[in-house]
Amino acid sequence: MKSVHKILLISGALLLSGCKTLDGAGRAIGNLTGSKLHNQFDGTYIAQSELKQYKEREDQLSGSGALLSYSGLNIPEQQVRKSHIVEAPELTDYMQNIVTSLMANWGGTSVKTKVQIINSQNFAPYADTYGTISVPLGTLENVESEDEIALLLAHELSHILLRHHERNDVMNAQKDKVTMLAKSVILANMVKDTKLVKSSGDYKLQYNASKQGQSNISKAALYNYLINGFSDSVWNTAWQRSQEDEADLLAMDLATAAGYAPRASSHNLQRLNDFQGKQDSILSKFWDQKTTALKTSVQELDLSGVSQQLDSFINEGMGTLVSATTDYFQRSHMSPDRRDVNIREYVLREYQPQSRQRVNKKTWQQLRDKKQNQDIFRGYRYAFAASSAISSGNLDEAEKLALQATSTSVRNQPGIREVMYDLRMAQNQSNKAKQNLALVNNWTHASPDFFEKKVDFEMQQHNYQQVLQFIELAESTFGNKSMFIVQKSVALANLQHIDQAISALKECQSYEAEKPTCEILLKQLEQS
Amino acid sequence: MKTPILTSIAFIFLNLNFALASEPLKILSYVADPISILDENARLVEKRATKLLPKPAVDVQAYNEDLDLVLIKTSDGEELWLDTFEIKLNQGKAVNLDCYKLLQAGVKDEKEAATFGFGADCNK
Repeated sequence: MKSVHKILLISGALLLSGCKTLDGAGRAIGNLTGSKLHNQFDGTYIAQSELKQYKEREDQLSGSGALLSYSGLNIPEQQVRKSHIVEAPELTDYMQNIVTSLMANWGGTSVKTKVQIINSQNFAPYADTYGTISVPLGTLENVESEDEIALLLAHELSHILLRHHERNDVMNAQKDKVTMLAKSVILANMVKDTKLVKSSGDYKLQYNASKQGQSNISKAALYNYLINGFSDSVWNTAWQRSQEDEADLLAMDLATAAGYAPRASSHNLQRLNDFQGKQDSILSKFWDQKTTALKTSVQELDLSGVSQQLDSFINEGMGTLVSATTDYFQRSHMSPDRRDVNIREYVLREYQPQSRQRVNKKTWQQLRDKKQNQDIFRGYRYAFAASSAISSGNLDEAEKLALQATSTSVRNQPGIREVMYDLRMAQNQSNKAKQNLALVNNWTHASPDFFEKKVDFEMQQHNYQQVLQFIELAESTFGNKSMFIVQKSVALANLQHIDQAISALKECQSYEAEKPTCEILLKQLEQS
Repeated sequence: MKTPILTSIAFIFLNLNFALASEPLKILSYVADPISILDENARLVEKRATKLLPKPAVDVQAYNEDLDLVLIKTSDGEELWLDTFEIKLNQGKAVNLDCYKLLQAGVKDEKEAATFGFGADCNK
C-alpha cells in the first residue's frame, strides 16, 4: 500500500516536475481528511520557506499602484464581472489604502490591485485573476469595524499573492494526467512482475503477478476510478478548500502586521456563518458521525477502505446524509465554523499578545455614517427592495421604493437606473424606460445584463451605429469580445459592412455558446 | 404612504447585529486552554486551566459586546469574565440579509466563475 503511494508520488513528481504552481496538492489531501493546515508547520505562515517562490514575481500584476482596466484582455464570458460597480469614491479609496497597508507587510514583490464596490447583497468579497477585489455592498452593510474589512481584504489579497488562480488553472489542466499516472503505476507493477524466461528454447516475457503487484495494480485502478469519478466533486474542491486555508492564514499574518485585531477574523466568519445559513448543521452531523473511518483510510491511502466507507453511506440508505456528503465535498470552502476555530487556534499560538486587541469600530463607523455615504447605502437599499417588489409583481410598492432610490445622490448610477428601467418595462411604459437608459451616468460601471438591455433596445430602434458604439464600450469594459458578437454582426450587416459582419461571424465560431447562431447567420450572409 | 416602504425595507434589511435568538447565550466550548480570566475592563487577571471551569454548555450571565467579554458563574459562585475569542458561543455576529432572504427576495445576485472569495455562493 505504501509502495503505491510512493510510486504515485514519484510518478507525480516526474509528470509535474517544473510545475511549482502545484505546491499544496499534498495539503489538499490533508484537507480532504480534515487535517489542519496550521498544525503542519511551526511559526507564522508568512515565514514558511514554501512561500518564497511567490514573493518574487514578474508578470502583468507585479508592480505598485492600481490596475486601470480590462481593456485589451480576452476574458472568458463566465469570468466577466456580473454586477454593477457602485461609485463611492471615498469608500473605495479607504479600502484601497487598507490594501496598500496590508501589502506593505508581504515582504515580496508588490502586486497591482483594484478594489471596487459592487451592487450585491452577498456578504463575501472575492478576487479575480486580474487583481481586482470586488467588495459587495452587503459586506459594508454588515461589518462593524475597520479590522473586519481589513481581514476580508487581506484574505482576497492573499489569493492574489499566493497565485491561487494560476495554480487552480494548472491543477485543472492536470486532471487528464491522473489517468496517465494510474496507468504508469499499473505498468510499473507489471514490469516488476514480468520476467524473461526460457521456455522450449525460446525466450518469453512471463507475467506472474505477485500478491503485492496485484494489490498495487488494483489500488492504482481504484485510485484512478476514485479520482476520476470524484474529480470534480471531491478532489478539486478539496484543493480549493486548502487554498482557502492558506488565504486565511496569510490574511491573518498580513493584517496583524498592519496593526489590525486578529479577532476581527472571527467576527467575519461568524457573519459568514449567519449569511450562509443552516447548511452547516447537516454537514457537521455528517462530519462528526462519518469521517473518522474515512479520515484514517485516506490518510493511509487505503483506497479500498475509502471506497467501502463511501459505499456504506449509500448502503445505509441515508438519503439526507448521502446528499450531505455530496454537498460537503462540493463546497469550495470549509464551514465558517471550522475555519473560525482553526484560525483562532493559529492566533492563540502565534499572536497571543495581539489576540487581546479589540477591534476599532470608530474609524469605519465614522466613515460609514457620513451623510454622503449613508445616502449611497440608502439608495441601493431602496433599489434592492424595489427590485424585489418588481420580481414579486407588486408594481405599486416597487414604484414607491424606486422613487425613493432616485431621490438619492446615486440616482443615475447604473444599478439604480436599471431598476427604474425594469419597473417601467414591467409597467409597459417603454418610452419612460428608455429615458432611464439615457440617464445612466457611467456605462463602464454597468453590468453585462444592463448593457444587453441597452443594446437590445437600440437594436429594436434600428440604431445600429449606437449598437456598435455600445458594444465597443462593453468589449473594453469587460475585456471580452464574445458576449455581444451576434448583435455586433447583425448591426454591421444592417449598416452594409458585409465584410466586417462576415469576419465577426467567423470569429464568433470560436465561442462555444454563440457558435450555432453565428453559423446560421454566416450561411445566410454568404448566400446573400 | 411611508409605512409600506418602511415595512418593505425593514423586512428585507432587518438589522440584527448579533444573532440574538430566543435561546439564552451559552458557552459551547473553550477554544483556549489555559484560558484567560479577565477583569471587567478586559485586563488579564490570570490564566486558568479549563478543567477548573464549569463544563459546557455554560450559561452566560452578562455580555459586554464592546469589549467582547462574557461573564460566567462557577459552581461556588465565583464570577469570571472571559474573552469571547477564547470560547465558542451558541450565537455569533450576524448579517441583516442572509442567503435565504436574499434568494427569497428574488433579486439576481451572482458572482462570476473563476474567482476566489471569502465564502461560497448562496447555492453552494
